[in-house]
Amino acid sequence: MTTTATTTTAAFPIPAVHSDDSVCIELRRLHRFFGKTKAVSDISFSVRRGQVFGYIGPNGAGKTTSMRILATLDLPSYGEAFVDGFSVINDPELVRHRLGYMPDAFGTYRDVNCWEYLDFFARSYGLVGRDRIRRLRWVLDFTGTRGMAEKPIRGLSKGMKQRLCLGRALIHDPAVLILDEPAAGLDPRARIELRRMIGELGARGKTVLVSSHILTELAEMCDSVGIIEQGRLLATGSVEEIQRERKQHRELVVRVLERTPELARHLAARDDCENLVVDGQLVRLEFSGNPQAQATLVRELILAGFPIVEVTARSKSLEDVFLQVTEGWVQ
Amino acid sequence: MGAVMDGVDEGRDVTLVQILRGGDSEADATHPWLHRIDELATRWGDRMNPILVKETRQALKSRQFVTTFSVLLVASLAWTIIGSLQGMPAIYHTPSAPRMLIGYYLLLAVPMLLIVPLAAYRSLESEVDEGTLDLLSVTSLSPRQIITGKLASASLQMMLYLVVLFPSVAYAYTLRGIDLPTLGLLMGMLIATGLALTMVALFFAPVSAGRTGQIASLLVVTAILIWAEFLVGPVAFQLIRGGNPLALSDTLVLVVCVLGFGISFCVLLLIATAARLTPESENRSTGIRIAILAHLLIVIAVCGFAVRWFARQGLSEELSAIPLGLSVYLVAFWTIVGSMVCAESAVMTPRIRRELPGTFLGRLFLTWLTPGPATGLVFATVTLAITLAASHWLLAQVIRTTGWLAIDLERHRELALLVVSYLAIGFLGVRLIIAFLRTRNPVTVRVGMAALAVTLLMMTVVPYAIGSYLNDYRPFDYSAWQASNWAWTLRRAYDQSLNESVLYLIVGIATVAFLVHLLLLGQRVLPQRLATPERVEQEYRRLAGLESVAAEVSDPLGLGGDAVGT
Repeated sequence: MTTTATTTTAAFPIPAVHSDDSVCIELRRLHRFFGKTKAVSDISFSVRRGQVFGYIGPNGAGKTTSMRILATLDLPSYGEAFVDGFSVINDPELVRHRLGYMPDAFGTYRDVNCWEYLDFFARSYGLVGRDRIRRLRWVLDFTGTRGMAEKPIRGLSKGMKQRLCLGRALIHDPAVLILDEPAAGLDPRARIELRRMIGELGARGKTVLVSSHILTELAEMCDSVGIIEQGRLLATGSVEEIQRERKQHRELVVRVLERTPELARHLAARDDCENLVVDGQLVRLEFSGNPQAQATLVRELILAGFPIVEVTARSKSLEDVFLQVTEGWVQ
Repeated sequence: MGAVMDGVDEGRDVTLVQILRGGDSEADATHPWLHRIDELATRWGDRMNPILVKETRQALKSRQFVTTFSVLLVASLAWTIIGSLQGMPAIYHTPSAPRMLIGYYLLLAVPMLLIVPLAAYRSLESEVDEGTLDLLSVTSLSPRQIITGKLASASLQMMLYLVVLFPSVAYAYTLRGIDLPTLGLLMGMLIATGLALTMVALFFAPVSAGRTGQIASLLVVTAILIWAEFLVGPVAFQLIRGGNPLALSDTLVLVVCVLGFGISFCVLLLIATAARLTPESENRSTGIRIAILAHLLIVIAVCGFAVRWFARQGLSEELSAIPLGLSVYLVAFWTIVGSMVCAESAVMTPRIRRELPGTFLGRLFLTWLTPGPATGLVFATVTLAITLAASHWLLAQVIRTTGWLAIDLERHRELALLVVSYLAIGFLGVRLIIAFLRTRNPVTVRVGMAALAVTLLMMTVVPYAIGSYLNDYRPFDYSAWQASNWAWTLRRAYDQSLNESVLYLIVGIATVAFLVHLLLLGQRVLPQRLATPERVEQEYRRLAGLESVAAEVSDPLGLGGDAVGT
């Protein structure tokens, strides 16, 4: 794929078609202003083909705005965004063919049953005849809504509506899925089901951009995440990568039979151990070294004669990373 | 695409219902003709606007439709019985159709002119309100398809209401007193008015997303619909009671004129409504400008046709109203449309620049159709001047044909020149105000109307206030210093007491301002056309190929004739 023309949006020279085939979603210096409010400010990241990318941020951080821009529903004030190599500004029709979008609102119709709803969207994507029936059937099976096909949408539970909306986003078999808070308000079982479906889509090669407040779920299903606050992208990459970039510490708990205060003093003298807390036979600390350094430390302690019973280490969760990266600003 | 696909019964002939219900229908096996009809209907439905299919399904299940349909059915039956009984025994020997038809008209007018347009309004408004418009916007449907789908659905509902009343109307016809052409004209008028009102209602539906704006637009729509009921009602009653007073040829002229005006205006509304649903990055303006030109061309042509017709019939009084009415319409039209065209966004996205005319001749003649306030000002001013000149020429033709001197051609010329000049200056004011506002906030084209109102108000109030102050707040006479006071100047021109030098001053200022504007925007009106990236063109070609393949498939469901009943 080659870049064949150059366009200019405001001050930034931007190629009209991006050149990397393996990148499926790309945001370049994206800005979106509403009056004086900067909803999105200079966001750039890319998602590789087949990745599940988690988009995390507090309310009003700019997640929905940037997702709406990617879904061709809004325009950036500056910058560009590409889906599967096509500009969302200049070639929205081509983007829409490749994109399945699930907003945070259900968007359902009165006096329509599930089958009619999906059938309507299948027709709207230009599916006809056997193709449409195949897709309808697959979507009803995949989302587990076949039994509900003839039930009116208004009577469905929130979980079933959410499945239906995922089905609607999948009806034209898009290469890219943008899911805005798909798990919001769902019960644990429905969340697990949704997570399974997203995981399966990722396994089938779909590129998924998903935002959620439930960080533990994102951590399980996402290959990488982007953390956004106040319209700015604070960190991007896998959880481990962000941890490494931020030089984040692992939490170590050392349990000894005796000489706990002496152990604490010993550890406090080291550069790679911080925030020590003595709790009975336990010494909790934050260790900045890698696993190799951790093994060396344990060996040293044993050689120093400390009666160590156990050493446990815990990597920081996505939640911990999120809290550390963000500052709690809400617009 | 196409990666996720499994569990399909390849090579097996199945209908949609069978697929969803998971079983073969016995009816299909025993009645192959039913299967064939179902198959044909499915194939036909595939070619229809998806919005029409969805809206029809929704409407047929909606409480509003079922209630209206039932009430109409019961009411028409009740009126048939009550009306007939009241007319006894005269009904056997006296023509009674008009009396019965008035009742049927009253029954039919409510759903046709009120309920269906309001339902269409509500349907589009709720798409905006409930976020489903976003979902539609990311599909392959174009905004124009969305609007035409809503319009088609409304017309289908109208047809169903007409079908309900058809037996009753046929019964009324048998009672004598009305002829078939008049009946056809009545029904045609009702359908055409209903469709036009539906289009007007759809135009207002996405005007505002806020609650206050929605209520205001609903009130405006309701007022228009009720006003239309009162406007069409007397015409319908006259038709029913007295029959068509016009000869067949006159009726044809009238129908052509009304349809020409109505259709072109509705198309303009449709394109403008679709433009409102189109993202800012796309070219929303050229289509509207072409529709404006087409509408005005049709209006002028219809007026010219009507003038010739009435002149041939020797109807001179009707003649005078045509060019004068046209002038008033043009001024009102351009005051609204011109202000909005001059308030367009000046941003030329790469997408818009790809579609700019590339050839020298194209640039020369089509630049004024490309989006932007600079081209908009030139387009509005030049088209206003040309169309008013056309109406002036028409008036001259009328005077030449009839020799009727009640219309003063000179006065019309002066007024037309003044109006064009004032509006041209007003449009410049709109451009400046909007450009200033845009440096701070995003501005919609509707603000252009407010900007024009402010400009025109200032042009009147400022010189009058200064004149008042200089004359110690006592009444004072008109002078050239009041030239920008368009209200006073137009009044003087109407009274034929305007000094010619003032007229030349105003026209001169407007001409100079327009020419300066034209010179200053040289670079802006000729932006470089951008090449479309090769990959984008390839993709469009691929999609076009897929669509044509889909259209060529004669048996999209794979339910070929041989397989029926197997």
